[in-house]
Amino acid sequence: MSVLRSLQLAIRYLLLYSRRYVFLLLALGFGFGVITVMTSLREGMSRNVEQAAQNHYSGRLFVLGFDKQADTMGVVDDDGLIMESVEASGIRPDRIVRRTVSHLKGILFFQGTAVRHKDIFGIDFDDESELFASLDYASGSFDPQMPVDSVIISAPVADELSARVGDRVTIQAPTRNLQINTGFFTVTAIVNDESIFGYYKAYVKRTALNRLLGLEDQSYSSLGLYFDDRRRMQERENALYTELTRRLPTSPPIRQKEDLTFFLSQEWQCVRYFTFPLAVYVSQVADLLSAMTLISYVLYVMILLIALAGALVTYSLIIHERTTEIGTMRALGMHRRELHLLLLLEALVLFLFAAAFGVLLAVGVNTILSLFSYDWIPGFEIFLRGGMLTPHYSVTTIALNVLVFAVLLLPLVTLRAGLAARMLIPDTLAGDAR
Amino acid sequence: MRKILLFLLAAAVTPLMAEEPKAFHHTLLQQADANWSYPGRDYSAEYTIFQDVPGEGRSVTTAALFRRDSEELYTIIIMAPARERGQGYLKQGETLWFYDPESNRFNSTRSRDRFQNTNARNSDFTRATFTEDYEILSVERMVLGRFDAWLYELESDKEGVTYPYMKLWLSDDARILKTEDYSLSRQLLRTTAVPEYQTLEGKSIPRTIYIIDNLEGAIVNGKFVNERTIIQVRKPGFIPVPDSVFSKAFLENAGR
Repeated sequence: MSVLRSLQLAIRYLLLYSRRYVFLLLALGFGFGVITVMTSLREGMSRNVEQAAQNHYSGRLFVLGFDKQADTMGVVDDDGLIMESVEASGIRPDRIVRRTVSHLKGILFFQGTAVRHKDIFGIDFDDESELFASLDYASGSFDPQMPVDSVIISAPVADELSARVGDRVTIQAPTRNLQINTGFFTVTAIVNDESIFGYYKAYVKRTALNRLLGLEDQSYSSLGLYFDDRRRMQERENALYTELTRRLPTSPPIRQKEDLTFFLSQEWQCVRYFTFPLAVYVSQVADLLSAMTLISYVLYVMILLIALAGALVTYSLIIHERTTEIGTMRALGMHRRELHLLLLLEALVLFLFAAAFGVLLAVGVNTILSLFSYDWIPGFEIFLRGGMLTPHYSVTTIALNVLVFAVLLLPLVTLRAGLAARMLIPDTLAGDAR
Repeated sequence: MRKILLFLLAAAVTPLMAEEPKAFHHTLLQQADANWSYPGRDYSAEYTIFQDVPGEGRSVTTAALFRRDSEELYTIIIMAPARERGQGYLKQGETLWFYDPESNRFNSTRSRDRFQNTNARNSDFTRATFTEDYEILSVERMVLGRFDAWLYELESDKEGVTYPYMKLWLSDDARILKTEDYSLSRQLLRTTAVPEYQTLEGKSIPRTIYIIDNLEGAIVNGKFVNERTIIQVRKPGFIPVPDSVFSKAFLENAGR
């Protein structure tokens, strides 16, 4: 009997015994659905963190300069040599973004209230208009041509300051000469961002921040490089590092946040340059994500085992109930191998239906879960987008889930079907299944 | 001819005459520095710092200060409130350490940072360095309250000088009456007034110092009230202080 014929028979038997197989279908589908929910939500959270980090830090690979004598102020003095290094490395970024940053030293004042900011960014809004246009604004709006003394603040800070769009706030920051400077800025927009990336940060025009910090108009602190193709990032990182070290005083390679913290605490003269990928910035969050991935896979295995155990028991029961039928088929001349293949194809088709059902179930569950806001969970907002869960259905991950499920389930099913196929005809006709 | 000669004489003498007030004011500023500095001897005093935050009430910190200006050393130990007792500051040259007995750790801090979250800065507890750090832009004679005073406008482009622009009111005997500290963009940040002095061994030592933060405050009963800090200096003395006081070990032991 051809495989196609066996398949046709398998489908017919499945439909014939649909009532018996429906429980098995539901059990397998439910198990697969739960696994798909977990993996899709985890991937969605991971992507949200990465996207939020990329938006916050503006890039995937960075070159930063720090002037130790200016209290480790972020400043790049040698843009020409840096661009030469980027060119020579052959990494060909798709986009380059320059930002000035006052890190941990900027304070916003309004009507007597002071809020110290983690970061005050100096932005070339023309270059980053796509990002800023996509932000969720509580009030005001983004205009790349906004006046030079404009500032965009976060909603939590606006609440703390009791500031609204149109209000004049004072920004205080130390200059490169370690003197206090202040400037008046008008709030042009308030952005909804309560994540750890967005809470205490403000955005002004790069030239405005440079003047506040006593830098040249074209100065910057951080060069962010974007790459549409995220493969081979390690190679790009190494190539850029090699070229930078040839031209400028550069720190040792940085692989994680702790390295950056350690090397920044060292002493050096004038400006030293650091290059590292986005992963360094989010390494602590990445550790959390890894822990979540591990937990999800532990749950994955538990659910898998439960589903497999249930499936095997149910399948064995179904085989037992079909013992006489199996004996009849054998008596009518069906070979053991054909019978084995038939039973296996039944199980395989059932499994594929179950997987499809599981995916649909996962989509349904995720749709319901995505209706609710979870930003009330402390610290959870970085995994969300707009306060909501956003599942991501990666073809690779779903295929991997199917494969893992199949690799574990099908051998067990094959074994059981094989046992059924090898039974002696008199025993099967007598209804004696083992 | 005579007129020409007189004119030439006047032209030659005028710059010399202009130099005289310049020299006088520079000297007066040096005296102001000297009044606030105690080289060649150790200084100690008890400081009570009252911090008034509008709408939040008053907090009181008591600290003991030990200074040795000739070596750029000072040690401050917090004695009250109880939750901050044992905390301390140690300045050794350019380095300033903050000690927390709870964690038993020394953390590097900066002269321009706030002292115990008040409007005073760590640099307020060290010697005055107006002549070293600032250039005199202008001097004007005026009356400040009941005092005749010289109003100095000072500017600094020196690295590390926290307030790049300031106004300083000095009495005729070079006591600091009032200062206004400005940012680089000339925004008034802080006002300090010293209305009372006490005399000790010929030195005028502030008895009370008022510091008003011109940026921070709150609206109370419809009126903006600034945050302020009042420092009372008690029991000043020029008694020799053991060398060990200006060490980390001293703060660690005191913290216990």
